[in-house]
Amino acid sequence: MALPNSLAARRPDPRDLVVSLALATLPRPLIAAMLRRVARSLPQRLAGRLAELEGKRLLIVPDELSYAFLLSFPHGRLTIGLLDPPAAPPTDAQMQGPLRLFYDLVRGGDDGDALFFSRELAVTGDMAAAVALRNAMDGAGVDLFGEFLALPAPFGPLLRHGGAALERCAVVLLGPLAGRTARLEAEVAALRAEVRRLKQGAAKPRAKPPSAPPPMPGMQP
Amino acid sequence: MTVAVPEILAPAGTPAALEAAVDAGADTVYCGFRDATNARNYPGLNFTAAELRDGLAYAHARGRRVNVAINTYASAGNTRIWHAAIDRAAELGADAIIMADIGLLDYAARTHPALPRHLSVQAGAASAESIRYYYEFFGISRMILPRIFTLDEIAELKARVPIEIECFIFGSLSPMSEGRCSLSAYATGRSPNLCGVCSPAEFVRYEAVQGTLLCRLGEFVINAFEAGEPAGYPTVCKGRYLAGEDEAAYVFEEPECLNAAPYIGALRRAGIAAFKIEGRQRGRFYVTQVVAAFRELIDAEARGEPPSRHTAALERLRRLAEGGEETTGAYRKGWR
Repeated sequence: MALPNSLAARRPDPRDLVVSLALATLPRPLIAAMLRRVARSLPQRLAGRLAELEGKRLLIVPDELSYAFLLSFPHGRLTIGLLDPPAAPPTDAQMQGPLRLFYDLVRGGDDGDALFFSRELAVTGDMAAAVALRNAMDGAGVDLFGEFLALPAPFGPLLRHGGAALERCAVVLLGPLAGRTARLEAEVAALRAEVRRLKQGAAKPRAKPPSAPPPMPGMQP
Repeated sequence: MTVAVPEILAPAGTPAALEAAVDAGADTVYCGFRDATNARNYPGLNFTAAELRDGLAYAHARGRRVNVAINTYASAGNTRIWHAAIDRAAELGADAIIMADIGLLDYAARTHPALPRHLSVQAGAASAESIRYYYEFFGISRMILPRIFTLDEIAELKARVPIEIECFIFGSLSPMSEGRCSLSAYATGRSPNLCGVCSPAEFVRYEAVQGTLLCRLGEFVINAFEAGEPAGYPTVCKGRYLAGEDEAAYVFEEPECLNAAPYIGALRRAGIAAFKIEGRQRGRFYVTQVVAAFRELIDAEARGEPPSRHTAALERLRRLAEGGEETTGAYRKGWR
């Protein structure tokens, strides 16, 4: 059974499912150990870009998890710690949003700026640190999920097999819902296109111009 | 007469974005070095010499080109890093350099005459006479148009200048004063013209205050967004201000994204050589999506199909628009 095409591209990646399951159910010390291994295995080309983040600490708060990730960057290396959000120390920047957004950002499956424009992703604090991290991860083309699933036995094989089983369950459970959502998406897209056509046909409302002073000579209107 | 299909010029802020652009169908990629010599000097962005060498090899192996933007204005008495960037681009085998500063254009023309020179939008050359000046004195082979011209003006301009013309097809807009805007310098002391950065990220702070997201740039609050309200880049030109109104409003420009897809055919017939996509500060996903969409739309138009029929590609572009809104900018403006 396959999902409708329009939604198939947006359904959860099997790897998302298995990583989510691991993050939600495994004991924190085990998750922390796995993250340490993944962080150590990141390619050297990331180090030069992470060097700009020396001394910075960033907090990533996924909506669905009971804990947050604390990222720090000693000597151009990435370290990831787990903590309760209320117990978090002061950090330079904070990012909060649904877990799937972070998955997409990590593997280059979505655009950080567009997520920010649409307000799906909240970023507060030191924007230079947040931008540097985004650019470093995105620019290195790192596949953190690949690293996660390539962990040595028993973790890697266990996660991979679990992912395949979850994928089958997701298709069965989500298939009918996906079809309905795809139809609604198509209707919304058609309505948006119609609204745009109407807006383009009408004069654009402008703010009332100030009474004075007049534009400076030579300025573009 | 057959009119050539314009090339797609894609942005790349990182090596991964460069490869994504090539894989998605860009004919040429443009990028910059990791310093103030280019107009997207943001944290963690741009290329070292080694990364550019690898990027050039990747593109050239696939028959594509890489242009290097060295398009800021050199500091008085300190042209060293700009000259070094020009020399490095030439040595690595860049296909062209994109420049604005006449002193640097002169240096490049004298030192590396075989390296094609394109005039950056940052030069703000806005008339046939101005473009002809750069052509005659500095031998530019291509002009990147400021985003102020209508379609009719572009067609007329092309007939009057002896070089290739490149124009923007998609991406964020600035307040139509490219190369001359000092709003960022007013608020932060740094500008895209001299430092390569507009609204430097280290001056930007977002704060959540009672359900409202406040955007600060330096000492100024430049915008406030209610929950769920679409946001734009934290630049002065896209801030909302009290200007004789009861409510703060966008007095310079609304956060919108240029999308000139409806004019692909008109621009091709006007003789445009290249369509440029803005966004070196965006990630590889943006690059892949926008390049692939325009590859589809431009190829379709060349076959005689209206781009408007490609609704899925147009919808993918809309999802990436700054502020969630698109505009055709000055290409068909009813205002003047």
